[in-house]
Amino acid sequence: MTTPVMRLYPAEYRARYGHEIAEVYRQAVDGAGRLARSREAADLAAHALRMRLHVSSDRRAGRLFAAAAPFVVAVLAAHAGLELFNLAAFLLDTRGDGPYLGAADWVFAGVWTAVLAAAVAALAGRWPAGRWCLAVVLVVCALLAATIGRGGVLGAPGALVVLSVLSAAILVGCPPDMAPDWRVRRIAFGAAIAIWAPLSALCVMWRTLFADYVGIELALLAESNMWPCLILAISACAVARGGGSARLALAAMVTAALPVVAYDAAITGYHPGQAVVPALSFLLTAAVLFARRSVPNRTSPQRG
Amino acid sequence: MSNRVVQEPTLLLLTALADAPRHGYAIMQEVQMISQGRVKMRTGTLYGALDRLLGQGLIEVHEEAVVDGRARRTYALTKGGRAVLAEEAERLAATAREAVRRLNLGGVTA
Repeated sequence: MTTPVMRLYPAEYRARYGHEIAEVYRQAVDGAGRLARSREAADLAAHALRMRLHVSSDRRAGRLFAAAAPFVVAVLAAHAGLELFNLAAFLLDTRGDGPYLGAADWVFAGVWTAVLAAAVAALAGRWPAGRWCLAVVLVVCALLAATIGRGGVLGAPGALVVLSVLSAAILVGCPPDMAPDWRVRRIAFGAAIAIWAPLSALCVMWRTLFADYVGIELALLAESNMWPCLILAISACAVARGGGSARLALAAMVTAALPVVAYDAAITGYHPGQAVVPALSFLLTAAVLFARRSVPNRTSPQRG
Repeated sequence: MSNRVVQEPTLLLLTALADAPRHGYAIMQEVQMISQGRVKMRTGTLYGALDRLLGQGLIEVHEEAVVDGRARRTYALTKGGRAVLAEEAERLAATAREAVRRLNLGGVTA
């Protein structure tokens, strides 16, 4: 059982630790059921692949993914919330000929519900289960977008594939022994709600006041990367203010921004103005973080 | 992300090595026992954490032996690891003491 999995490890690491790891695995699954064996083997395979890809927790890239993962989940939670909100608005809209949601819309309503549920579970409940569920749902989302040819409210399947795949990669890249602590997850969750709630209220207000189908909500959803950057900037500042490393918080923010910036670029096509909001967010956050560092130095050595 | 506190899997692993050097499977069992069954560290996760803690100088390989023809390393806390664990334990204990004190105050006034 372990032989094929052990082959996934880099040769040098396998030569050094292979026998020892295989022995621990053998003891761990001794008398265990099929499910427990599968989980153990999957965990071993994931570690082996992390070693190969240099994203284990003893590597800088692994620590960066671990720091960025809760931010990515927060952005996805807000994104899913907005997508669902928009679908509900179409469904409940009684103007004109009534709701005109097709089968694909219902499929994606299910996908966004699953994304939201998994993201909330990861941020507010059990991180390991929520993270893996979210990664699986994102892969399903990418496959659906590619096959059905729909990509959420604006119908840009390529963009949704990019968002889903990049986000899933960061989530899967997060080493399991460096799960973000409760404080960081709570901050990211709070930032997502803080941005999602007023944005949704603004959409309701816009619809009520101006009776516009394709009004500000679509612009806010897709034409601007402002709100995800705000979530990331708020999260990074709050984490660093609470005693975290400013440099790591900034790096995590930039990493977590990659899926949304790529998503935005894929939807609208690249133009130079597009980079203004993320760049300003990053610079402003960096200024806040380093201003904080220059006054009282509250950082302590890396522990993990 | 946080440098201020030791994350739970790391804390459990360091605690598992606090009283004696242990080999991989024994560490897994200790972690499960210390967490009262709440945390089950799997093999891949354990070795990921051990690599990181070795790199950070918080643990060290105490002994490399061949038992029944199989390689077995035992791991132990370093001085630095012991200091980090002691500091974290004191921080947690202080929080617990304060929680108990406030609960008692609440019990008196209620």
